[in-house]
Amino acid sequence: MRLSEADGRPVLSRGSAERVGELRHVVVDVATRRITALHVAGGRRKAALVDWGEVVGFGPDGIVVSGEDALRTPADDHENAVASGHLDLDGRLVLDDLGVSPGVLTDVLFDEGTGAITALVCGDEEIAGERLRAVGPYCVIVRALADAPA
Amino acid sequence: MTVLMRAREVTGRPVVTLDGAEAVAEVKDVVISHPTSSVVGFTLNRRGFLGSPLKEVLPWTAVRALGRDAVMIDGAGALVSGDPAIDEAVAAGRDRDVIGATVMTDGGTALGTVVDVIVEIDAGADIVGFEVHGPEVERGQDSATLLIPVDDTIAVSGSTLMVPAATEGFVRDDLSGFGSAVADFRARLREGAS
Repeated sequence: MRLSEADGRPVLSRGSAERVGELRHVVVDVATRRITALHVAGGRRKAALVDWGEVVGFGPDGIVVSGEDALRTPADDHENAVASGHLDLDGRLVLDDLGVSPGVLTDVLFDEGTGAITALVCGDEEIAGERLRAVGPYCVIVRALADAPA
Repeated sequence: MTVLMRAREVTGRPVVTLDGAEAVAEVKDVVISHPTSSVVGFTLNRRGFLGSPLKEVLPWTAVRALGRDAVMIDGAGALVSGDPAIDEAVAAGRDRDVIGATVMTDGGTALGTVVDVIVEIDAGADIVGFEVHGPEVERGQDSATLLIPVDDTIAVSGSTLMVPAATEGFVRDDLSGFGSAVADFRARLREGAS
């Protein structure tokens, strides 16, 4: 699934059937190249995170989470930065580890079953998810291809 | 693989950490050691509009990659408050900035004025040439910018850069093909020496 399509999708509680907000950002764990949490905002409750493990269904019309109890506050600086939009992936500069930029991030492809990031989209170019190396305030860093100049 | 780069193109390039994907500084100046004709590191500015100079410097040994769009380092710890090689080169170069120096061959011909330094990026970063503006070079086109390959047989004073007379035959006007010109030039110098 494309992150651009999931962006803004309503998030509902399985327990109460209430709308708890909409998807605003995602927390990415670079080591495992997975989305580990969703940042949900625009509901009655204060903006909060939901761990990927609490996602019951990631469907075309809504994201269902186990319950409103699953909403939690950001736990560290990284999550705070995500929740305040400082690590917004869309439009972020992409650099490879040789200091060459293929452009800016236009989309992210992920597996809605596991949260695994399958590809980063940079205009016409798709960069395999396993090349992701770091996400930071300046850019996203990807590994240069093995046959590229070292 | 080897890449040729103009030193001035590196100026202003962001210095980015591989661990945090953060731009911690930008390059102010490329610091060159004259005895070895190599890049020993960079002085730095704070990022952003009117970025003020940083006390910290970036030694070449801490640079993981010097790319078209950024200088990559492992982490913010790569910036150090002092580096012997950089401090020495900055102190020695205070009165001998190579930009603006007149290029003179040891045959006594002035080739022009240095406007930039061509650096060969490999495992290290060595000066392989100078970009020179000069109507003194007989080229037909009077306003051409010229690339002059330079071996490690150069001498620098406050205002003059002395190069071997053989340099004159190896002038190029663009970076493509300059790498082979440098190789040819070095080969000829070696032949001349033997």
